[in-house]
Formats: sequence, C-alpha cells, structure tokens
Amino acid sequence: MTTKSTLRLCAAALALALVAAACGSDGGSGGDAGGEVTYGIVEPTWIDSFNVQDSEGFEVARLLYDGLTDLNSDLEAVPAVAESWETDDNTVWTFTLRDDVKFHDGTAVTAQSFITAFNYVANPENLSDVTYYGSYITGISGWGDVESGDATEVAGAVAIDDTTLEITLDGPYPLLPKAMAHPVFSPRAAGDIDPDAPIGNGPYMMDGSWQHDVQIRVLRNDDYYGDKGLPDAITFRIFDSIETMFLEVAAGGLDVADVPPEQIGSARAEYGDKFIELDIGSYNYLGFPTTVAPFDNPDIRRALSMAIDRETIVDQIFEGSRAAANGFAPPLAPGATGGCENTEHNPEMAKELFDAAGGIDGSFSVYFNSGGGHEDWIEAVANQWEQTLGITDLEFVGQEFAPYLDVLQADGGIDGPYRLGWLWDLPSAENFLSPLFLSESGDNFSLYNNPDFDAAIDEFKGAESETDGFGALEDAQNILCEDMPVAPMFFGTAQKVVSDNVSNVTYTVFGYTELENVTVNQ
Amino acid sequence: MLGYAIRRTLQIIPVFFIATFLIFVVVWWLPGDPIQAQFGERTVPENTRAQYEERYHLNEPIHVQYWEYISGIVFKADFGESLRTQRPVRDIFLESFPRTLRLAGLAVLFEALMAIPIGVLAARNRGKWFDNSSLVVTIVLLSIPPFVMLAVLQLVFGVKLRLFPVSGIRDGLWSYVLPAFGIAITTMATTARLMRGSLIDTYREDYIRTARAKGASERRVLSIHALRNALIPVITVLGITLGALIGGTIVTEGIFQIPGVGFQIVRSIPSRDGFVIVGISTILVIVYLLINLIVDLLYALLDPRIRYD
Repeated sequence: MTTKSTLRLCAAALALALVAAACGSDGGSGGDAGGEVTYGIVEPTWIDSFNVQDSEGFEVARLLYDGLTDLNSDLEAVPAVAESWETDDNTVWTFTLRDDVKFHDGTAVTAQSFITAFNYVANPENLSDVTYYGSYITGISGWGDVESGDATEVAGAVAIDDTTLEITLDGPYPLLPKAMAHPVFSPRAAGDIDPDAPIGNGPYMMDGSWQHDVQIRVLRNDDYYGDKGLPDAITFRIFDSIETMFLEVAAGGLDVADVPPEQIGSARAEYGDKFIELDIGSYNYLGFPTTVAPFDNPDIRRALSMAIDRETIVDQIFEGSRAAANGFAPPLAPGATGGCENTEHNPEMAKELFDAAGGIDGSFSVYFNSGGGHEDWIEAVANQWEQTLGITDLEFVGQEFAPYLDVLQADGGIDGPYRLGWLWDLPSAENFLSPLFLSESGDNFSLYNNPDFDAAIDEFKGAESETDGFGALEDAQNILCEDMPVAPMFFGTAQKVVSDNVSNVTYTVFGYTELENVTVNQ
Repeated sequence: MLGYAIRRTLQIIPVFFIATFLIFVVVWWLPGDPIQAQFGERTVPENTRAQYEERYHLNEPIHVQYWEYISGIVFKADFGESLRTQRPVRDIFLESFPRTLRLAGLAVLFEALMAIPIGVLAARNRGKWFDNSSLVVTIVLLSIPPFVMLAVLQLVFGVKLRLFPVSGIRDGLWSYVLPAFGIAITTMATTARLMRGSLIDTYREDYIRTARAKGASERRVLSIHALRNALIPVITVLGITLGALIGGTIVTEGIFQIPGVGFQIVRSIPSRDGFVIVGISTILVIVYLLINLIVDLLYALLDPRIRYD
C-alpha cells in the first residue's frame, strides 16, 4: 500500500494549498487507496445491468457498470462512456463515445455494445422487469416493437460507427442524458453472460460469482478509464434482516449498515458523527379516489389534507427521521416547487371547507399495506381527522402488500383513501408527477384526470431544456396543489451507521453509498 | 420381503401427489397477484405480464398449472424457477439444504452431548441435589422462548464478547456453532428428562439385577448393560428432532441469517414467489417420504411380523 507516502504527500499538498483531489494514489477523490470495505445489503434480485431493479442491486451495479452518462451531485448529467452528446430537437440524440473504455474481459466498449444491451433488455424472452425505461420513461423509437415481439432490434438505436451512437425517441424528451445514467442502459459484452458474474465496464469487477444470500465481492478494476476506486476490494455482505445488519456494525463485522426505523433515535445518540442521515428521492402519500363520492369533491380532499398535522407525526412517530411533505416532489428534485398551502396544517380552514362541502356521510375505509411500518402514522392521521373534522366512522383496512396491490388495481379503482409511496427513477420533479397523475398513466391509482395538468407535462417535455421546462413543471404542481388528488405526507430520508474502520463515506442522491471513494483507515 | 418392498414403494406415489397438490393449491390461492408482487406498486407493462403468464402458465386453471409443474418434476427433475430471479429452484435448494442440515445436525449433536450426561447423572443421583437442580435448570431453559434465547446468545457471545460470528455463514462450520447451541439448550430439557426416566426404568430390569449380582462394577452395569437399552427412546426422540429441524429452523435461520430452506420459504411468501415455496416444500416431501420408506423397510427387515401383515 502507498498509505504513508500518500499521507505525507497529502500533507505537503495541503500545506501548499493545492487541490486535495490529487491526493489519492490513483487520482481518486481525495482519500487513501487500499484496504477492503465490508458493506451490508439485502439480497438483490439482480445485479446484471439489464434487470437491476432494487436499491441493493443498484449499489452493486453502479460499481460494475458505467453507462453513457453519470449524474453529478448537482443532479446534472455528466460524461461517462459518452464524452459528449448533442441534439437539435430533444428527439434525435447523438452520443460521442470514448474510444478507451473496456469491459472487464478486456474487449472494447463500442456503440454496438449499447445496442446489444438495448436489444437484450427489450427482448421479452429475457423477462427484464425494467424494460419500461426504454419504452415508457424515455420513449426510444422501436423499443416497444421489440417488447411486443414484432421486432428483434430497437430501431431507434443506431451505431453510426464505433464511437457514435444515435438514439431516436418517439417524441422530445429533454431528460434523456439523465435517464441514460440508469444501469439498465449500460453496455453489454458480447456472448452469454452469467447473471451471477456479470461482465461490466465500471470501476470494480466481480471477484468470482455472487454467493447468493452470503456475499458479493468486487475488486478494483485497474484498467478503468476514469478515476479509479480507492478500496482494493468491496465485500457486500448479504442480510435478510436490517436488525442483524445493524448489530454487525457494533460487532465489527460490517463497515456500513442501514439503521432499522425503530433504532434511529438510539443510533443517532450512540454513533455521533458515524451516524449519517440523508434525504432521498422518495415520498409517501395518502391517495384519494377522485372518482368516488365524497372524494370526488376537491374541497373534501383539501380539508382532509389540511387537517393533518404532518410535523407532529414526523416528530412523534418518526423521531424526526422524515420530512413533512410540502408539495408533490421532494425539494432535492430539480423542478420541485413545494410550498403547497393545502399541505399545511390548518384546522380552522379544514373544518370550514369540510362543513361547506357537506362533510362525509356514512363510513369509509382507509387502505394501507401492513408490516411496512405504516399502521402508526395512518392511525395518527385518523385521530387528527376525528379531532378536527369529527370523522369517527372509518375503518382501517391493512393487508399484506401483494393482496393490497390487487385492491389498488381493481376495476373502477379503490374506494377510499390509500397509502402509497414513490421512489424516483431519475432525478427530476417530473418523475414524481407524470407517473402518478397523468390521466393515461397506469400508476395513477387516484384516477386523477385534469387535461390542464396533462398539457403542462406535455409543455415540459417539449421544452428546449430541462430548466426551460421548469415553468411548466411549476404550473403542473400548482394544479395538483389546487386539486389535491393525493395528500402528500412525508419525503424520504435514509439512515446509515459506519464503523471506525472507514471514513469519507458519501452518498449519491439516490441514497447509494459512493463506495469507490471510501477511505479504509489503516 | 420383495413383495412388501414393492407394495410399500407404490404407496408413496399417491401420497406424493396428494401432498404436493395440497401445497400447490394453498400457495397459489394465497391472495395477491404473483406477477404484480414482483413489481411492487408499479404497473406491470402489458407485454411483460404476457411473458410471465406464458412462461409460467399463470393464467391457466390451477389443475393445468399443477400438471405442468408436476410433470416437469417427474419427467425432467425440474422443480421450476423463482419468479423473482429466474433462478432454478433446484439450485436454491441445493445451496440452502446443506446449511439447514449442518445447523440441524450440529444442534442435535449438542443436544445429545448435553442431555445424555445430564440425564444419566440425574438418574444415578435420583432425588439428590443434582437431580433436582438439573430439573429446575432445564425447565427454565425450556420455558424461555427460543427467539429470546437466541437473540440473547447473539448479543452476548457475538456482539459484546465477540467470541462467535454474529450472523451469516462466512466462517464455515464455526458460524453454526452458536445458533446450534441455542437450539440445543432450548430443546434439551425434554431429552434430559427422558434419558433420566428411561435409565431409572432400565435399572429396575431383571438383567441389571443379574449383572449386579454377578459382581459387575457399577460403571460396567451402566455403560455395558443399562445405557444401551435406555438410549433407545432417547435416540428415537433425537431422530424426530432432527427431522423436525430439517424442515427449516425458521426462527434460528432468521436471527442468525443462515440462508437455509426455512429462510428461503419465509422470504418467498411476501413476494409470492410460488415456485420457490412449492418447489422446496416438494423436495422436502420427497425427502421425508424416502426416509420413511427406508425406515419402514429396515423395520420389516428386522421384524418379520411387519412384512406379513
């Protein structure tokens, strides 16, 4: 290891007020290289890029793969395999690729590697659960034809030459470079790939195969084209229980672990600066069935929302570990406006509106999935409705998640307020709005339908750039705030604890640990 | 003997079909769409749904689904694959079953090593302080709920004293020692009492009196004459315990994160990963049926009365 000499060099460099970023022995991001990090995750569903779908899978895949782009801490798309891109109309995009990127098996990453990946993901025989990124989210031309079995190649992706990839969309989408940072759009090496030992092109590569339910170990890729990772090796220890994972940090078996919700308070006190809390792009809401009386009346929905004291619930039930929602997208999402008055606790106004709208006759049900820690806050909401609005005749319907999903999908929709959440697919407020509220969207369980809202989203998608479209996104959020198809409840946070063995533990906006930058204390 | 063996072997065929059909029906009639469960709150794209339905016959009537599944097992030794990860159930089982076997085997071994000496000492000191205090201690251990006992062992010997791994199986057989010990001390009470009672009964037998009368030492009476016979019911109980543990020690596997068969089944229920539940259960059914068959044939071999019934 180069630890000591690097330290000395670093000290000298700092004394000379040089840039600390030059201090990693491999030109990493400022720490010392070497050592091994042991990181706790739940067993992922997949780590092969074409089907990565859960956060634990992303934690591994983001080290194994690099896509065309990456996201920086300001949530902008920055070059990865693509060194630049251009478009005239946000519909036809030309990506220029680096010529020095290699897969872990030594073969070159070319424009064709991306086309191989797209065709593989979209092919229905491969049962990718995230193929909707190509069709539904980005709308790459011809992707849907491959999904439906009418074609075998995605027509909208063309390799002009080895380093030029042209992607054509069905319509303008200014967020395409951001979307391309998703692992599902990573290049794919030729031939059959073992899903337990995928061949990627990222800063780390597999050390042997995934030992299911035990561990995944990756080694630093010394042929990596970009800033090389700091730890020599990273072991993902696999747990089924966050409680046990958390115990392992105290016992010295893990360097980083999630904190179980019920232990957040004690972990915060016990771990001090080794307790890390960060905002992530997720939120919880109480949806209203906007086609079912009395919830079809916007005044009733506004009253129900204003009667909820979110701050108190956050303090008393979550020990401050969530943020009360003040709008339809968390503040870290570019384009989020917040400040929706109807999410503020206002019991007098709530009562006034509620009575003027005729109140609620008879009983109704409140639906949620049991076992996810939602019982307590839903009950608190019901108590507040009772105190403020005098609602006493309601029934809680808690179900296991799988049958709960069936109730949500039932013909004609659900008939009472329901709990649901959303985790963003890509960092934009738009991703919290379109899926949940566009009249045609399959994830719109409140059956909300407002042509003005749909038009605002269309306007955003037609904007020249993402920031040019912020005005349209603001309009869309104002419309939602007026209509309140759902009552936003909380924005998500994540809590982790780290051992004394490691430092410089940082996170992406998705809540993934930047393991490549962690320093192992030696 | 051959006739009996053939009859007995043929009997397991209907038992196999009935048992697996019941498991299949119960699992697939659980409320909740298994395809939607793979996607959480997101809508399943139509094409993807169609692919799942075609590949796994999910939109067929239940008896067709059962037939597709069972014929795969009978003709191709194919136990299906996970809906969630598309991994073959056979691989999942072959990976997890040895872990469960290791845990169960070690637990029974520890139980025998503790319960037999305690039972013997208690029997030989009947009514004295050791007998009484061992009764109290084993009953106390028996009355502590296993998950409390296991969590305390984990906290004290794993987290605080760092003598044993806290969880997981990364340290080979050593990883299984603490959880196996935890199972053993909670189940030990009955076996120790059984050993004690059985030995006391044996001591009353005529042949023990004969042995003593001919001047055999007390040690010889115990080890050569009494213990052998007294152990028979104890070993039977230990065998039954082992059988029960092989079905998955769900609580222990959960607390110590040992990915055995119980762990796999429990994890697959909320995600409605039906083929994993059905597949692993089916293999366990086969294992039980085969073990029973072998035991019955051995009995028949030993005792001619059985095969002529």
